[in-house]
Amino acid sequence: MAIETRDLLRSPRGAAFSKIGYLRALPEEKVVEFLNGLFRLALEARESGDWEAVVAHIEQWEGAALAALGARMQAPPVDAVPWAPWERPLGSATIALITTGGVHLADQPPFNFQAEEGDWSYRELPRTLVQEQVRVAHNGYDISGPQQDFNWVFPLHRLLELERAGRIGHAADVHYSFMGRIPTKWAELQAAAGEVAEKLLAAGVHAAVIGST
Amino acid sequence: MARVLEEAGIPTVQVMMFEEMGQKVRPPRVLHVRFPFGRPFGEPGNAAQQRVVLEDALRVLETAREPGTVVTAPYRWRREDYGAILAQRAATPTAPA
Repeated sequence: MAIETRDLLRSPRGAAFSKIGYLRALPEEKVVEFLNGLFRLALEARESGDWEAVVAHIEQWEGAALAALGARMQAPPVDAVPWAPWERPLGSATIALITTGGVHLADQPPFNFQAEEGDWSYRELPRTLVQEQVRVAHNGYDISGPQQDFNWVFPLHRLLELERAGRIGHAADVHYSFMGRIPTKWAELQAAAGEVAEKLLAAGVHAAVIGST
Repeated sequence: MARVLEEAGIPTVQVMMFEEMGQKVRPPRVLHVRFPFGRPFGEPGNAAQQRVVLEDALRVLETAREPGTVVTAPYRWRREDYGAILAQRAATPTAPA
């Protein structure tokens, strides 16, 4: 019986499997090496009761998978890294959150995540946001997370806790959400980000924390 | 996106789960977490973890001195006690950098 090695890596969708699947991009002998190692280590772990070596093996190979993915990724050309110095005490700063996770309010139009060119629009999320208002429109990651608790990708409630504790000055009144799968329309995304930047400046926001997905 | 905001004068810090993308895109400040995709602030229902990661991101904002700073968080997926980490932080407050 012939087995297609890559068929053994047809993992379920879901965050736990989100990185290891990229091993399919590696040469077949590497995939075999991963699977043989996992097989051996799992049986040894059953004997010893210590599964740490199994986890380490998975994480080591996740690293290899991501390195292979990174090597073939497209990205817009970059030159010097821009820099806005941080010079104020955090306790007097207004902080905004930005997520790329496709989060939007129920009464806002969803992101068009199925468009071939992606969707570079953004949505405004108020600091009064509650879970019942939240919808998630994205097909590039396991959205079951924010569908249960949007703080997994957009930790607004944690930011409000930091405000109450005096660790930050203020959480901004308005935060922003994008849908991060934008394969090529980088100029359009830059223009949208520029609009958000202007709005943040007008609102007196001092810094932004961006959560990738 | 981080670069656009930074050019407009808004300091940013980006939480990323994919170090190689950070190397290609080069945001000004990055907190790199070795978490699965889609879990930038951590595990399901783990508010303490969300808080720790957010605090760490803000710490990178405060302490980064060079454009393109990447700090890799030490947390092992599903094997940390974030309640203990928060308790330890509350007990030993650090001075601002």
